[in-house]
Amino acid sequence: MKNHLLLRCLCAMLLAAFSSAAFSQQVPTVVPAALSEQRTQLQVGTARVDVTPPPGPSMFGHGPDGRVSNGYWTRLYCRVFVLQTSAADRHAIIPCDLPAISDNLHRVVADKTRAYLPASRLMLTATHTHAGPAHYFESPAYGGIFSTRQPGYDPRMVEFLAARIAHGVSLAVDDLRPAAARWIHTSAWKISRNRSLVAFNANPPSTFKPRTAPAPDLPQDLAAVDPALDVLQIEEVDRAESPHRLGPIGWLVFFGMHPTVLPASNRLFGADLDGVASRRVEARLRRSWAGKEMSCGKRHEPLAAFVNTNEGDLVPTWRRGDVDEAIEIGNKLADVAIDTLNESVGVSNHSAENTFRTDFAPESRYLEIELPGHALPRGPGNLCNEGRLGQAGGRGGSDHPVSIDGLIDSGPDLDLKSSDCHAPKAALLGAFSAILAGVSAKDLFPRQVAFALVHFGDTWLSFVPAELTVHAGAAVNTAVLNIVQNARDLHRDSQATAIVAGLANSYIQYVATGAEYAFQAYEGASTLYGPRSAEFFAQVIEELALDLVGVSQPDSRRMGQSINADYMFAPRQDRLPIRSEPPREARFRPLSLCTIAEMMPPALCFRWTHAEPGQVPLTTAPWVELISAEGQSAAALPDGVRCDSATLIDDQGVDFQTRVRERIKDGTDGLVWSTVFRPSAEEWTALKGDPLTYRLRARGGDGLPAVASPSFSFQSLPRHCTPAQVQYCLGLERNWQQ
Amino acid sequence: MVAWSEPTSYHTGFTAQAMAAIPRTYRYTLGLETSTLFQTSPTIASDQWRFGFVGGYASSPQPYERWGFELLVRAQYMRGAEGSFNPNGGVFGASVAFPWRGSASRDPWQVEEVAGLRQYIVPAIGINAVIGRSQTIHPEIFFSLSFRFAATSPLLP
Repeated sequence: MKNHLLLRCLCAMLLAAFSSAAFSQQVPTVVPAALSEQRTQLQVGTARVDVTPPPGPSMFGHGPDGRVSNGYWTRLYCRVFVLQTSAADRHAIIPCDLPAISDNLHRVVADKTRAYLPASRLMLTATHTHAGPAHYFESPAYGGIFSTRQPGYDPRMVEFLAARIAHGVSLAVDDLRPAAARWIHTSAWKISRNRSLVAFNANPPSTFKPRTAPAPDLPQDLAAVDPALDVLQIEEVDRAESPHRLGPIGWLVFFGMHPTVLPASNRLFGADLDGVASRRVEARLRRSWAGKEMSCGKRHEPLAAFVNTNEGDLVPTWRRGDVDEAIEIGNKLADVAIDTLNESVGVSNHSAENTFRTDFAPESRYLEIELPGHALPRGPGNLCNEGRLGQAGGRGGSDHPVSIDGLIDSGPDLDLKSSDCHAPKAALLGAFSAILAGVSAKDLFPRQVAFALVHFGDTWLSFVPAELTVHAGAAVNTAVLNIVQNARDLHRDSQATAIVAGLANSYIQYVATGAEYAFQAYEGASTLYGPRSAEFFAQVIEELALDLVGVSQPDSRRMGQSINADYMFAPRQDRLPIRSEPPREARFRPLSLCTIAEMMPPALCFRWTHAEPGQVPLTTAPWVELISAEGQSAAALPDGVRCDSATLIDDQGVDFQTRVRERIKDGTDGLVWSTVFRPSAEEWTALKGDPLTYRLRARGGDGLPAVASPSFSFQSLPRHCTPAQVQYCLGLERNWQQ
Repeated sequence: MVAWSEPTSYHTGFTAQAMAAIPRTYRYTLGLETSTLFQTSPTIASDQWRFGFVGGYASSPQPYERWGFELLVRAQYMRGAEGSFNPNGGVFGASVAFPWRGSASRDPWQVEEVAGLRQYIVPAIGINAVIGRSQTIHPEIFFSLSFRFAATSPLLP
């Protein structure tokens, strides 16, 4: 025992010593020679991979309010879209249900997918759910003190996420199918609102014009948004010379809004409203395959992924901030996207409006940049020499203020006497923030980021490593359109659309315009590299656009190249539950089943004992599910739609909230788990009229037994939970009371 | 404590430490330590007093762990009896300790507070070199058992 502890001691000292060393990693950025071949028609492959960690890690996005997870509501997914006309122009766009994308994660994924495509064609984006894991951010600001409850950088979390995403890329490449695509550009009002109206109004009105005019009676905060909702619809086509649509492969939906209905006190992993919207659109797309004379299979699992655009100051129009409201707003957002579905449109390679095209070919430019002090590419001026967070940045957004802000006497947000690069920003905690983090100010925040511009069809996508405000995003889009609409020859496109894809490939918080920065509201205070940041972003993207239309730029030779990533890592901590061997003689069993009648539709609360979070089969398959009492097959809705796997009722939908609870003290090394199953109104109506009996079940696997509840019928529900038991089931009470 | 002075001496006494964890990892500590020791053999009328710096690497038990460990070095001023002489000297040494948390362990997902006070029982063993008059160096080995209060926060990494 003593030897073990001494060894542990020495190992920890070595780790601590090395963890402070800079990390250098380069990833391939050129197309492997083996992949070059002639262009053909468009091919698209997709894959969905589960990136839900076992409960235990902290959640990122609410700063020090980011709680330690104790379960999950929805699974977190990365939806991989691989687009190509040949392997040489292969691009992967991968929206993930994650809070943000760290530079480190992008590099590790790129390293694992080097056989398929270079880092410069790998576009990882985050929906920005605040109910996703932390611990994969390399910088001390996002992994160190105050970044979450129980912070720390865990390389195993990076590996966990990267391995699954990379697996998704390989699956999507295997899935490549002849495809046709079209863009639909529409608007969605009354879903988002602007939370920093004063700063928004400080901009000259001419710098942003919404795609469609808001209704005259719309409240000011609901009108001060970018309502643009852009849908890339991708269909599988046959190989005929005049191809026909077979059915949907997937949609990429671009919309600007924090997907943050759930409060900071939430302790369940989940994709928030974007996860709901994705599932609803996917369910609708699956129905497009349903009437066709084909057997059900993977190809009939179309994906719908949401990509966040210029959402820095935009938040959902939530009031209660609970799961029900996340479902409500998510469904509303999905329905706007679904309204763009038109199953009668044909395939054509002419520029006739709204037809699907097989001749779209992705092309892109990519540039990695070391931000501190970087000159604006088209001048004049520079970014600041170090990242710095302002006072208001520590308070959180006005929709989700940080609860411990009151503990710090933070002083005014503006430092009007300052004349340094960050003026008028008053630094949060002054120099003390770097002292607490234990690094020099220049190492506190990320330094290296990646920018990319992808041209696909009539649309130009700017992948940027931050959350841009409405106006900052508009500046980037305007820069792109100015180039494209005035380009020569083939590249000229007077009808082009430009979209910002935010939170992509790296993360440096917010980018506000100079006018917004002067106010130092939350977004301006969280613009790390100074008041010229928005101009810088616009100019970098402008450079990429110029190069893409054939005008050589000073940085052209660096485009596509990877720079050394010299990270100063946040302190390392083991936060991802280890997947260890499950106990050999597990005696896991059901504990209780009761009905929460206070909810409508009623919910069921099931408790059982099972293994550690790192041991239970929380993988790509469902774990907790509704099954028929007689067989082991999953219960489908009586009127379930053929080929629609969403009619299976399990924890891959939005009906279950599963939590790990206390340890049991009976010598079985087991943990108590609980789940609340709450059917949707539609499911409840179907189940209520069904005389069959059912069970709730936690699946087994990996040497673990399945555990099923007693059987019950929806026409005769189990006994009612007591009020104290309801509190326990909802995670509000720690101990179960009989 | 056993000191290989001439003759070999045995001491017992009290020690108080105050330490702070240092950013970035909050695993390196620096603090002050003072001790009052009584020589039990050979019997001598003079006590011994030490005061100085202590610091090193410390990994306190996480909320879901019972044991931690720490490796400390110390550099202190000393005045008092050591064997049969009464030096005015310095103490330099190192120790290893294993803080033990007696309260019920909690899993990571059960931690909800922003700050808290933890209590540990800390057994330790160490070696010192006592440098006395005439540059004489007396090795010593010591054992200690202490009670520790630690103010901490899960907001620290």
